[in-house]
Amino acid sequence: MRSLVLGAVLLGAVILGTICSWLLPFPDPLAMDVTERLAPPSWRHPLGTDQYGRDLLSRILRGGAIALGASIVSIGIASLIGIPIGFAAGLSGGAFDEITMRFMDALQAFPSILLAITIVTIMGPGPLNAMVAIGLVNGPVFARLTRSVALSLKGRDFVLAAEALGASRMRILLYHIFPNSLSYLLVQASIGASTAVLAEASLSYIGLGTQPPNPSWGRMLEEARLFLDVAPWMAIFPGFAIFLTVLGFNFLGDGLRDLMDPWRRSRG
Amino acid sequence: MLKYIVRRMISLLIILWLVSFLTFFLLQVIPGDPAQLILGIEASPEALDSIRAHLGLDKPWPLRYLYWLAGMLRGDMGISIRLERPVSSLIAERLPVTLSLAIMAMLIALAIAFPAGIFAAIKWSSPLDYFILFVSQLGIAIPSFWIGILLILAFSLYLRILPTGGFVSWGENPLGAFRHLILPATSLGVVTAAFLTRMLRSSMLEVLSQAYITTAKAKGLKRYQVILRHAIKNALIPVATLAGVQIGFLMGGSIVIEQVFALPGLGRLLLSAVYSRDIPLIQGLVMFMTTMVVASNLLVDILYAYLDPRIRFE
Repeated sequence: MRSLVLGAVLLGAVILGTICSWLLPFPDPLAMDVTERLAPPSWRHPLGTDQYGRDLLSRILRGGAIALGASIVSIGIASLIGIPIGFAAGLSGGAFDEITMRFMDALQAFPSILLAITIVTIMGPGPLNAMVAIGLVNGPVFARLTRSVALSLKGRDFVLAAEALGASRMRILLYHIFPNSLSYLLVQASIGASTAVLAEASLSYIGLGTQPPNPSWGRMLEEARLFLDVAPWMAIFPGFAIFLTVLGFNFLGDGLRDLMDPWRRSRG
Repeated sequence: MLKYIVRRMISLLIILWLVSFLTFFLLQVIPGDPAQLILGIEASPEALDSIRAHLGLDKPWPLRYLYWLAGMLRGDMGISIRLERPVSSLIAERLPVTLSLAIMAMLIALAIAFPAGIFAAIKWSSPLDYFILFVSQLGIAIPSFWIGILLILAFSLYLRILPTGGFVSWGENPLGAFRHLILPATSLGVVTAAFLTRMLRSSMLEVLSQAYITTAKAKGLKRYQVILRHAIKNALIPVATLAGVQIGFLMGGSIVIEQVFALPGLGRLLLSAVYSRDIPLIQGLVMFMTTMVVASNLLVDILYAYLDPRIRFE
């Protein structure tokens, strides 16, 4: 329970901060001010400014939209691809299962960031393309998990009972197997979201994700690298934002897993 | 054992074949004409045609795939469009940097994870255990390139004892090479250490509750003997698999870390190829890096089967 609360609090803060960047009168995250270049943290700019005099607090809060967007878009794509493939492979078995899983093996053989870079190279750099690439890379992870859950549920009594009652295969999948897999998929979605935030930041850092002047935490760190000796605050705060968001998703995932698995919960 | 290795080799070859197909096919659908990219938009149609013929681009893609695959098998990965040099020699030049980075990162990760994971398990549920668990939870969430930037800030700019980036070769100046690699390797290794620590802790806990540990204790062995002789060896088995997975992570992570520290390795070569849309170089690098990961995973699997005979007879 502790992890769940901690995760919810951290993510709640990130979501709230992102919404506030629009609702509250923060300085425009894109507005440049040459007189305030590389200003250290102060009352006017609580987290300092960057090389164009843009307010870092505004930029970090707005950057939350990219991070949260990356987790939602990539998890959406990964589940839309992975879950149907996983169910189809797990429930049909045979040659289809064998061939699809070999294919998933091959996709997972690539280091994930390398595959994401390759896909972005094909689609062209940009925030949405980066998110789609991360989703495509995560697809096999969802497929594999869904398949193994489907395999373990396939032989359970309640599925056999439904079969004996003459339920169609579609009905068994939608009403019996899918609802029982949801808890596993939810945990995976949370873990996948944390890797998506990290992957988006990495892709933006190397210039393939969010493009300037839009604020993305990864991109901000890349810009900070050039001004490390004069403006260390530029490097510290965006990294902290990534860290807290990833930590939030990890805690949420751990908490959800404990919640779904009473045996683990009773052990504390 | 031999039968096991042969079986694993076959499945490795199938995977590599699929990887080669994906790598080639994905990069065929890329927008933009390589011939145009080389000659610029002013080029005459005749010149474009001749360079297409030279690159083999006038042939249908299945044929080009076969040529490319046959070349790969001979170690000929084609010619980089931008750098106008064989891809294989470009890779051979940069490989030592990435390899030493990955190996150092793994050594750092193991040096942290071993004591941390084992002590956490031995002192289960103690403040030390909670502290190690907490720190490893933080370690998993920290982006490695941010650790890198913070390390530069601390050790290069504030303390001024290590270089901010760049590289000198091992042959020229071994101490210099080490000094250039220690920060990037630490940035990568810390994250891997966090994963390995958690794995080693839970697998040690699992082992420590087994009956043979009770037996070892009952026959009067000292505590350290039980742990060193009986527990650790068995606890290492699941950790070996995770270490295999982490090799892929280190390979991928090195792409970003090399960028942070301006290390002239495979990752930086890949990014420069991506920025200039140098397809043969991208294909060669993706194929090479993935093959390295797959091959080291095979080595880990063989080691695993050696450690645990049950795997071989599955």
